[in-house]
This record gives sequence, C-alpha cells and structure tokens, in this order.
Amino acid sequence: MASESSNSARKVVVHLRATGDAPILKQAKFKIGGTDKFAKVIDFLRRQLHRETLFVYVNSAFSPNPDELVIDLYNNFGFDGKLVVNYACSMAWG
Amino acid sequence: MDNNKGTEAQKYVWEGAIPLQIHLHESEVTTLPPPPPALHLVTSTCKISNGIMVGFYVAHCDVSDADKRLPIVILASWCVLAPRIGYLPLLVPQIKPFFNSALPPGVDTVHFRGYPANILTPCEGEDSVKWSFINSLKEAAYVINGNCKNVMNMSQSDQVELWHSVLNVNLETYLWVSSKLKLGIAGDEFSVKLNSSVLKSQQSAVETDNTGSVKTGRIPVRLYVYNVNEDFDDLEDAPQIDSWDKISYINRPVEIHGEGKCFTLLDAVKSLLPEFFAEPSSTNEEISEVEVGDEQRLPSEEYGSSPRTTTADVGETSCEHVWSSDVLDTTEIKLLRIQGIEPKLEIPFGWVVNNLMNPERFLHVCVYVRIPEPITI
Amino acid sequence: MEEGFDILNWDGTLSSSAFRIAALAFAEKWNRFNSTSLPQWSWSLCPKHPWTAAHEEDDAEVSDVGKEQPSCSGQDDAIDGAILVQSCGDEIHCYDFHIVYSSSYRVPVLYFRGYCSDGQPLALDYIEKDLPGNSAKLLMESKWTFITQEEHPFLNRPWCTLHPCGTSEWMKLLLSTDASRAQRRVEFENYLVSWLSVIGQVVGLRIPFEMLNT
Repeated sequence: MASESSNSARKVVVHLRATGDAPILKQAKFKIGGTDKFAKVIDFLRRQLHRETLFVYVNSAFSPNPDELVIDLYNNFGFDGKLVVNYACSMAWG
Repeated sequence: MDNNKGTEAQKYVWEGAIPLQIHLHESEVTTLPPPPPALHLVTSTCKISNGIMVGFYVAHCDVSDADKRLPIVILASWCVLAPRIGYLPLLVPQIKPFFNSALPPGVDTVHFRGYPANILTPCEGEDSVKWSFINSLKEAAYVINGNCKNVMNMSQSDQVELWHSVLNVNLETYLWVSSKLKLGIAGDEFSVKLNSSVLKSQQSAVETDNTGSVKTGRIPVRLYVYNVNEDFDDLEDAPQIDSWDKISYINRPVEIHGEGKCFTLLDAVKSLLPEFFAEPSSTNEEISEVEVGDEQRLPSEEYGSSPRTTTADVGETSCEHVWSSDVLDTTEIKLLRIQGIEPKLEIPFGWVVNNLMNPERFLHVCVYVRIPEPITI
Repeated sequence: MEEGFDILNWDGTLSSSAFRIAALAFAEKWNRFNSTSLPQWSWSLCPKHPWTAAHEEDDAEVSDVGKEQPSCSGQDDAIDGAILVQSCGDEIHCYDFHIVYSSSYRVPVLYFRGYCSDGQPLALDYIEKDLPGNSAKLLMESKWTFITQEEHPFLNRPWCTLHPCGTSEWMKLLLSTDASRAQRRVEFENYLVSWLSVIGQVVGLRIPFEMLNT
C-alpha cells in the first residue's frame, strides 16, 4: 500500500500524438502529476487545439474515462517510460 | 426537370391514404344527435411514421382531450401503433375541425385517452417526428452509399423543404430535393430497361455522384412480420392484431446481386426470410422460376377472395420450398403487402424499391406468416 | 472461421457473426474482471422470432444486468435494471442498457432507457439531467443528432439511442493507429471493449480497468 501511494505522487511523462486530421503540437511531451485525473490531459488538449470535441485514446485500444488517474493509466499502458496518448479532432456522433 | 414528376406508381403510393373513422367518445357527447364520425384520410405524414399502418389494418384507440376531457376515438390501436405512437398527435389539427361544433371554444391541447404512459413517454412535437424522419433517411443513405454524408451535409433549406414536401404530400418537390441526395440505386439495369425516364434520371444521378460514395448494392428494407396461428382464406377472416408484440420487424438490408439475372421481389423476400425457403437442392432456382411463371394455374378456390393478388403465389412458393423441413412444413407466408398493395413476386426488386419505397427511402414490407400452434398432448 | 481483420483494409464495421464473437467475449471478460461493483452484462438472443433460426446472431443483444432491481417492463428477456444514478430527491432512477447489432450500420448500437422505481419511463428531459456534464452539453448543442428516442429493434418500445453514423469511422481510427507497431490484425474479441470505452463515457458507464489491458 505504502509503495503504491508514493508511486502515485510521481510525475508521469505524457506523449501526445496527433492522428487523423489533428494538428501536431509544438511541444508533444510534458509531465503531469500521477494523481491528476485524465480529464486534465483532455482539457489541456482542448485549450491547445481550441476544439471542444476531441477524440482521445490510448494504446490503440480504448478511450480512457476522464476520471481515471494518470498514474493508473501509466502503470497499465505506459511504454518506454511514458504514456502515449493519441488525439484526433473528428469525433462525429450522428 | 420535366422527368421528375414521378412514375404512376409513385403517385399512386403518395396519394394513397389510410381511411380513419373517428368518433367522439360516447361519454362526452353533449349534442343531440351526436356528431357524425369524422372520416379522415391519413396520408404520407403518418405513413412515414407508421409504415406498419400501411400494411396492417388497425383496430381501436381512444384519443381524448385530457384537460377538457374531450375524447375522440380513432380507429387504430395503441398496441399496434405503440412504437411510433408519438406521431399520432400530428393528426390532431386535422381531426379537430370535424368536431368543432361539438367542442367548447379554445380547446387546443388534445391528449390521448388511455395513453399507455407506463411504457411510453409523450411525443416531443413535430420536431421529433421530423428528426426521426431525417435519422431514418440517414440510415437509408448509409445502407445505400456506405456513409450518410449527403444527408448530413444537406442545407438547412433543403432539409426544411424536404420535410414539408413529405408533410404536404408534394411528390414533385420531394423528388427534386431528394434527388440531390444521390440515393439512386445501382445495379438495377432491369428496371431501367423496363421503366420510364425517372429511373433513367436516377441512374444518371448515380453515375454523376462525385462525392466519392461507393454504391453498396444494398437496399434499406424493413420487414414486418405478423404471426398468425389460425389458417384463413380471406384477409377479413385474419385474426385481429390486438397487440404490437405480435408483430416483429427485421431491419436488414437486402443485397441486390444478380449478374445478368433479374433480381426479383421474391429473391429479396427469400434473402430476408431464408427459413421459408430452405433449399433442399441446387435445382431450387429453376423450381422457383417455374412456380412464378405458373401462378395462373393455381386453383383459385383454394385461395379464395383476392384474385387480383399474388397471395396464393407466396403461399404456394413457401410451401413448396419448405416441404422437407419437419418444423416448418406447415408454416407459410399468407400475405405480402407493400404500401397496401400486394405486388407480384416476380416484379424486379429494383422497380419495387424505386416505386413503392417510403419517403425516408426504406421499403416497408408487411407479411402475414402462419405458424400452426404446437399441438398440446 | 475468421476471427480478426486486416487493419489496413478495414472500414471499422463488423459483420453480425463477428459481433456475436465480440459480444460473447465481452460478456465473458466483463464477468471475469468485474469485481462485483458493476452490473453484469449478459448475452441474450432475441426471443421474438420463432421462425428465425438461421439468423439468431442478428437478433441478439448484450444487455446490462444488475441485481438491485427486478425488471419493470414485463419483457420476457432476462433483463434487469441497474441503478446508475440517484437524483430528484429520493427518487431512484433505473437504467437498462442494451448493445444491439445494427445491420444497416454494421456496428453495435447502444440503446438505453430510464425509469422510476414504479416503472414509469423517464422523459428525455429527465434522462438529460442524469447524463454526465459533457453529454448533457452536447445534447443541448446537437439535440437531434446525438441521442434520440427510437424503437428498440426487438422490444418494440421507444428507447434512447446514440446515433451510430460516426461509429465505424472512430472505431477505425481508434483501432488502426499504430498499425505498424504491433500485429496487423485486430481481434474481434476486443471490439466491444474499445467501443464501450468511448460510448460508456457518454452515459457514464465505467469499464473494469483490467479489461482494457489486452
């Protein structure tokens, strides 16, 4: 338990990678607190891209719930010391 | 666009209507004699929403003004109409004038008596009906083109115009606006040969489609199946549909494939209900062609009262094909109707689609299927 | 039998038999990893068509089942309600979720309905209040192209549904990025997990974390 809590205080390197029609960010890598929610990553992208609807996903497998903790995502899906997050601008419903 | 006035069949379908007889509820009659029933023809507005109404006859329901408690009875059934019940309120403005003399002034909210509030929420108004139409159109576009960009990119004014053409039963405007959607059906050379310039114009629309859409050869079809247990010869003797739950529907596209061979309505029905056309041998195709060609010699007394129709044709075809199946050997299609019409099954399917489809581009097909009740020992 | 697809030529859709594989795998996996806190999903065939045997995979759906509430609708499916949210004072709102295959769009479609404890269906206005903030906002902006009421294909009742027009496109995007990295095939088995990770956010459904780790 103790090791877990110290673990989550760590900073995580997030690598933001554009897919589809999304513009590439000038700075693609940044650090974020492990105890932060994934929502913070989404908000950051929204502000950077000036887009309300974004499609954000991880590992070519799923779109994380905004409430997930970044450290949990990193521990499960991190790779090479970083968490790769893909983003696209097109997200159409109907 | 001279050639965009629609075919005879399209006009027939668009102008066709379902007669409703509407009575003021007896407990609410305040005049002597009671007002005569209103006779109302339900045209395409209701037909889009109630594809089912076109094919199945409807039974009974109450419509009432809840606030002023002014009931009207419509010859339709809540149960039957349940899934799309939201659309009935659109009829109210048309129905009310019939009872104006009997209604107190200022009544403008009409509610439905006996509304099944335990399973349905109230209609959200005309907008929701319109969007239900647009969403169905999108679905149809997706089936036909593999995407629905054309419908999604439709201009606001086109959208409004299209909806109004449906509401006001204006076939010409409808054809004009909807031609912009490039939803022509490819792979229907037989119909083109058989038919008028309208089809040719649709064919050219297919060719000039520059949106990058690929025609899938798929046709949007909704098949409504009503199961009956008893046999009947005359449709009037058919059991009343007293519950919507006795009707099931299949929303599955039909793929037109028939290289060099005409893809008929029968082929389409077969692809939707393969259970009735179990193929015991590879010679099946020949058999079906012979049968279709031979419908004239069917003993008329056996199928009774509808000589104009191909009911018998369907019945026999299915019987012939399933004879080898233990379970289904007495199961048969008793009746097939599209837009209230009982078309011959050898008609090219492309023609059926182009002429008998609903404004949202789905072909609604209703069938009565007889399944004998299992024998209890 | 084909159990995957070549990413490069794939358009994001599924055949009905692939959906069946995906749904069975999804339900199995969910039940394996779910640590009791979330309602279960179960696979059920539609009982409505006594005459269809050959097409049962089309008439099937995955439904979300909770232990808390018995079914209020009197349907013959083994579907129970799951308590998702609590609102309007003491009134508990129950939600049923079904994942149904659409032959038109060739993708899974989420159907859901909300009702009060007495079985009274909730109008869209009330459902809106129960949705996560983002969805409620989206619903306000694009009311008719996001969530609307449609007929449930097998239950013949109006349920809420999320429009599936865009599904194949974002599924393709989601699963085909990094195609060069690992294997070039995507397994059907993972389709529904990925799909629900997106769809679930709209209605506030969580997925057990372990399920995502493929």
